[in-house]
Amino acid sequence: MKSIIKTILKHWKLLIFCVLLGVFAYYSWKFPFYEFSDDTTDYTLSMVETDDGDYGMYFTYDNTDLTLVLEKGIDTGDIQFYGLTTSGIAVMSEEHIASLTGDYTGSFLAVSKLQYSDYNGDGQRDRLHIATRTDMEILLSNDTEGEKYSAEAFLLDVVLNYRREVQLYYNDEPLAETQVQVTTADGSVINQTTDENGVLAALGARDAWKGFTVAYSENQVDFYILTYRAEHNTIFTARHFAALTPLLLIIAISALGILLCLFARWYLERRAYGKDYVRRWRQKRPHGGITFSLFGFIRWCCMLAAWVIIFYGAYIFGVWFDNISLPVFACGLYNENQFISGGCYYLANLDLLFGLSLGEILAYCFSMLASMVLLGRLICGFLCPMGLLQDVIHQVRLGLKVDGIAVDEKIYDGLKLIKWVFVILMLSLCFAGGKFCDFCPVQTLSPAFSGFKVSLYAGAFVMIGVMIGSFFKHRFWCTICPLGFLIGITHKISPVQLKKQCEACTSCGACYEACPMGIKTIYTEQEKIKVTDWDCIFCGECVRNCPEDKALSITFFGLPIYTSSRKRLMKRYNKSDEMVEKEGKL
Amino acid sequence: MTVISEQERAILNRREERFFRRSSHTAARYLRDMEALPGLPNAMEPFLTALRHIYVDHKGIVTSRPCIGTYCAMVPQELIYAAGGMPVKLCSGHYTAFQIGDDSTPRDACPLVKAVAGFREMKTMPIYENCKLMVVPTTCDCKKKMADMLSQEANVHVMNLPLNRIDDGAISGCVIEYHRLIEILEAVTNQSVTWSRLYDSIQMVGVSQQELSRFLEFKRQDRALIYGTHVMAMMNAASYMSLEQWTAHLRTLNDELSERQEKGEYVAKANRPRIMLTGSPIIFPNIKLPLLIEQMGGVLAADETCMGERFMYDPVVPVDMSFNGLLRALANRYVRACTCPVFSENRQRINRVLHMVHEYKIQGVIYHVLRGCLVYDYEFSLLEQALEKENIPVIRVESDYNEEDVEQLRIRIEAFIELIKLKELKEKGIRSIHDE
Repeated sequence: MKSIIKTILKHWKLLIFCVLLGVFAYYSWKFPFYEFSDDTTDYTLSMVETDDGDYGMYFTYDNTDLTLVLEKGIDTGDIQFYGLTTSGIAVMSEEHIASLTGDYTGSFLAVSKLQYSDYNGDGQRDRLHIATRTDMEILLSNDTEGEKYSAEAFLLDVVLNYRREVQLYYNDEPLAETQVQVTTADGSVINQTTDENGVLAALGARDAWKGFTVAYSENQVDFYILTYRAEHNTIFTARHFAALTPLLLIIAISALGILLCLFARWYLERRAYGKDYVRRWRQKRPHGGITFSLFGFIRWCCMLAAWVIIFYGAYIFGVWFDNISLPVFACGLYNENQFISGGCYYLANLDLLFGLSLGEILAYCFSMLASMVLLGRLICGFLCPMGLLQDVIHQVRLGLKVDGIAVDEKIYDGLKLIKWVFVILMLSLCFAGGKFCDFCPVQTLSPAFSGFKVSLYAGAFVMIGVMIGSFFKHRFWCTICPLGFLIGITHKISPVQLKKQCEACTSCGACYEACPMGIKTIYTEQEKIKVTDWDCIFCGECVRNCPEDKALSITFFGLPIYTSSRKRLMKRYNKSDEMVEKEGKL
Repeated sequence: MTVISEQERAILNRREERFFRRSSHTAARYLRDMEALPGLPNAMEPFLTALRHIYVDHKGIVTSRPCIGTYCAMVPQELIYAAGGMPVKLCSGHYTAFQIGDDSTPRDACPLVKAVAGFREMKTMPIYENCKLMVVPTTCDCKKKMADMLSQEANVHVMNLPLNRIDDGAISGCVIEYHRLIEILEAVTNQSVTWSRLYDSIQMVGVSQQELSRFLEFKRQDRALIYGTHVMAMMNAASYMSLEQWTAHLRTLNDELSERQEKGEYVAKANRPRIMLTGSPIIFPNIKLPLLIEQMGGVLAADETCMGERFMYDPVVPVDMSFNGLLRALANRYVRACTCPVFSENRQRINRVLHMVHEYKIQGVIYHVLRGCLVYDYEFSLLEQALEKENIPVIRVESDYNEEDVEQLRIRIEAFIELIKLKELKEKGIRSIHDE
């Protein structure tokens, strides 16, 4: 406590900055960076007739173009459109179809007029009631049930609950324990029985994205055929790139900022030390770029895998874990494709957490605590997508052979203060009426990469700062990350430990120099074996740069997984072997 | 300008002659003693030749680069190589020069400084006279005053050294100090220190350290492949050879040792007590202590002295690849990793000694204190306590730069070696009783 007060008094200028930061965070929604419209006005609705198929129709999406495809036998004039609006179900006239107004919430139902055909192959003419329904991404959410059309529009209805559960309604009642015929996108036809709530257990989110058709008949004469398709965030399509636009904009602005910083440094140094000095210091250098290490490679693989799983996991595997949260920064609210939801959301919105059911709260707390205890801040170094982003930026700097900024303990002290401010903001802003998510830089990253269009506010400006910062200083965000700070609580009991054999240590400070978190105790410690610090993210840089055999090691349940070795370090000098042979190179 | 009469000149000449004669005599005798130790590897010859060249023949260092004299182990040799210079370590163990310097220095000054003062007075030793620049770090009190004394005659740069090195400010201070040093070096050598040159020199020193690491692996063997006195001479010779040469010779030595290891040719019996030497620097020709240890039946298995393994042991680990980043890496290696007791907080030296005791399977430690070397004397009690816990016997041996105390040292070392042998016997005896 004393040290906190001391630090605060020492950095009073920084304190003013922190207060401003707090105000900025509180009014973060007042600083828009890029706003997507959250209604259907961007979309266009059209109809196409094709000669393929037989009495079918379905919706297709192409970025913001919503097209109703009509197969052979159905004409444009046969179609009646319904749409869900903010004030209930509306029958859409032609002019409404031509330009969608903001009232529409993003669900459309197209019903064809009655068709006659032999559907079940019994030789009699059947009455076919054909309809198709679609729900847009903006309407669907992991937290809410889908909305239902009334039986007046169409007797059969398919509702997608929580973005993964397919529920059938018939005549406004759930179609319980009934056999229906389901045709999935790949053409296979199966007979399925619904459960007591009318839920089709065999169908999931992926089927909904690809589209499926449900056919049901009570009397084998009237067939109700409904094709359902949810808009799915088509990755690597125009829509995905549209979602990435603000992030690309942020990257561009950050790059510009970095160039500006580099120019400023060049100019100031040139003025202070003269031309010659700059030439010597910042000369174009032939060596000293990206270095390879096995541990680092494994770490990168883990981060990439985590990136894919966290951002596209549900897209690939479907939604498996609902209540389980992992303490990483990945927006659970906007990025619906997460395999495991990021725990940051409820931490930043504690009031919402208290509003959940007891079971959900327990599941959340337990999964968070368990992963925190089991992995500790290994999560930061091995799983966090934000960490990967920073590592990529760092590698770009190394690849370009641009000099970074040396950060010493004074600056780390200041950063610590900012970190505390972030922690306080994260945990308390929701009670004060602010929204931390709008201020959080991760909001610019996680939804956009998964293809969700999320409007950005102050967080985008913070992200620009973070990007510029992590270009010059490795893992800049990690030093002020509030979530990382909270994960660090378990550093003493976590099975992942950084251990030091103090006897073998020569106190050369290479570990401290290499540490992106500026942990000093790792080099000053002379007695204790456990040197895991609150801030340690297990990036392994200290171990990699330690010149002493077995002086430092990362252990998991006491088992060393990465140990320092002089031989490995000395391999760096292999390249200049010829220098010994030919004297006088220098 | 003072006019020197012929008579005075004759006296001076005679004095010089006497100096050289006596100096050659001592150095040659110690070289002979070293060669007399059994198991001298053939690859040691270039190292002994280098010592002979300097101390018996009294010649300068063979190099085309300008010589930069350095004192202590804190002047980064990488910077000197990068500036196109040749670092020469001028700390001296010279008996004859010590006697001459004795008159012009305080009684309690350490013999090392007295020897340097003697050389300054004589003005005849080529390695001192050829130096274009002398760099003196502000380490112990004697060295600080010595810097001033030297500056009256030679081009001296005093390099400030932070004595509390935990603070980050100390390291940034060092970087500023290195920039100053670079400027001065550039003026002397007419070669600007660029990033590439600095990087290349770090790489070059790294290569020799890699070779040294290989050598140390041989030293860690249970049985000695090479005598510690020879290792001392080899490490001493690094001060008077260019690093490329030294590394190349060390490579041949390593090859020879690995051959020996394959054939099982050890220089000493397995039961010889393994002794470690730490404390004040052992500099040729003051090599009597290592010689005595090995003549009396011990093996000098390891040393923790600044003219021995220490000054080449720690590698430079550049992490931040900017120019200042490289300098910071140098500062980390030369200041933070240094175990010299001039630094106020030096717990790491105790750890280092303990680590070496375990690594090299040391059975006894001899703590060498040069008379008047206070900083090393201070740390003796700390080390004694630490070693007591490990049950490793340690004796403090004080010596001077003359041969008067040789017999006395011989008795003490002999007794110490007997003590270790006895202790071992006792432990074995107890064990055998238990076995029965």
